[in-house]
Amino acid sequence: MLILIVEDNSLLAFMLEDALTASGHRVLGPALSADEALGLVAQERPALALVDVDLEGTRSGIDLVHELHERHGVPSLFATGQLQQVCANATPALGVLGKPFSPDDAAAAVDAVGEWLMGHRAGPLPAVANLEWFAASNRAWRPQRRVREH
Amino acid sequence: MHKTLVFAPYRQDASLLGALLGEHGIDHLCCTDIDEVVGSLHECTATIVTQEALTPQTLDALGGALAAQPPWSELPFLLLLDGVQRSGPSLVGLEDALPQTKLTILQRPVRVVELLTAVQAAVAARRRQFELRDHIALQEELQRELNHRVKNTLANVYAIYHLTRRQSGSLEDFAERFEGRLNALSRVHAALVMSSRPRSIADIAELVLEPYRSSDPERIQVDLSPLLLESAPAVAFALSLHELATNAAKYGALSAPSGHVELRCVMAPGSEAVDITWQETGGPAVAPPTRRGYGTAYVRSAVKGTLRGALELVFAPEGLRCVMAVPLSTFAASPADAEAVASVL
Repeated sequence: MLILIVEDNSLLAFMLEDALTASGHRVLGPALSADEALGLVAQERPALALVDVDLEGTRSGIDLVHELHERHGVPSLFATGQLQQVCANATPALGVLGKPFSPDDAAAAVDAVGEWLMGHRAGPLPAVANLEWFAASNRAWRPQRRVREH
Repeated sequence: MHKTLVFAPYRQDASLLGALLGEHGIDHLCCTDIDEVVGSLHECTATIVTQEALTPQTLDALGGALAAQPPWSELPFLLLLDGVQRSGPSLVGLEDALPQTKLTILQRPVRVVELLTAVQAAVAARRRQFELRDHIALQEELQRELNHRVKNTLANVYAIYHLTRRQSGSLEDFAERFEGRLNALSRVHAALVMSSRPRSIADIAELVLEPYRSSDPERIQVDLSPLLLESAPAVAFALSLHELATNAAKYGALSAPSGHVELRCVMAPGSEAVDITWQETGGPAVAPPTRRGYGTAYVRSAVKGTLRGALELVFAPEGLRCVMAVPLSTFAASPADAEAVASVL
């Protein structure tokens, strides 16, 4: 899958790039700001975005996740340490990967979302270390995908 | 914006009190009903209420609103009474009915000087409460920010651990690389992660390269301009320099007594990017690496991603050359802007 990474921390961005390419994915970015991320998405549409909350520029990761969902139909996972901020806001993100996470956690999260989006996996998303799924947004995503599958 | 509320719904009380307060420059609002009082209660400096206004219904509404005050708040409450009956039913239980208030009772007819003194004292007390509120909010903000930075630091340490583990063949190998990277992160941590002030690339280079120059300060020549980087790109630049230096110490110019490193920056006329060049000379003959190293892979990713630049690595026989072309837009605009960016931390 093509995965968009939105993260300004060079170590975390590299760790994500390394982990995702090692498990067979391609990486778009890393983008440092919402504008940069949307510019990349306009050129090539990713299957999933991994988004930090704290971004450069005026728009936060929370704004970006809304825009990716509403304007581009791209699902997102937050990858952030600011769990409270994310949970307090109604968001179309599928869930949040809490920092610090391991490369294996990130790869497992992306693989789980991949299988689920392709419709290969029925039922709730599987448990992944350091990952909290958002039940409400899962319901929001599901019907859209089912329509496309059948 | 912060006003003294007057709630005196009978006779001419409200207009007389209002005129008096206005005459003495006290910003006030005469409320016509209890809902208006309750609505403005949390933002007001003091509340003046006459005896007639305190019906069981208003007391009930006031009590609810007062009980909902935040912990720092103790609203100054001035009550104007006709003849005080100390044991009378009107005063019994008033303190309980008006929780978290600083209650002052004035007996009518009130002398002007007495009323004004009481109002001014109330406003001053309230102002100190607002200062306390702002102080608490600032402390909470700092706590959140600190929490965020500590988490970020831990995430960095985790990332270094995982990346080094993937790269290392043996425990000794892991221990050496991990300690080197952790040490580099520690050296820049206070300056780059815990501070909001951008740092110049020259300062960052001094911090990172210091351990490699201890035996001979001339071995590494640094000539960088005072271009500033914010925290995330500064950490990317620092750790990239660390990877170059540790590589040079192991295989390159810093592994031989005669070796030297030059770190310079140049901006070509009309260019939108600064070329930061790391040039090794005098070391053992360089051969291109047979496999892609993790150190250089990180530098490539950091320069392309967080620094928004381009990387050129040349494994020339006479010494490694690494050019980081970093666009001007990556740097913090100017020292004046940088001051504005620096927050309270």
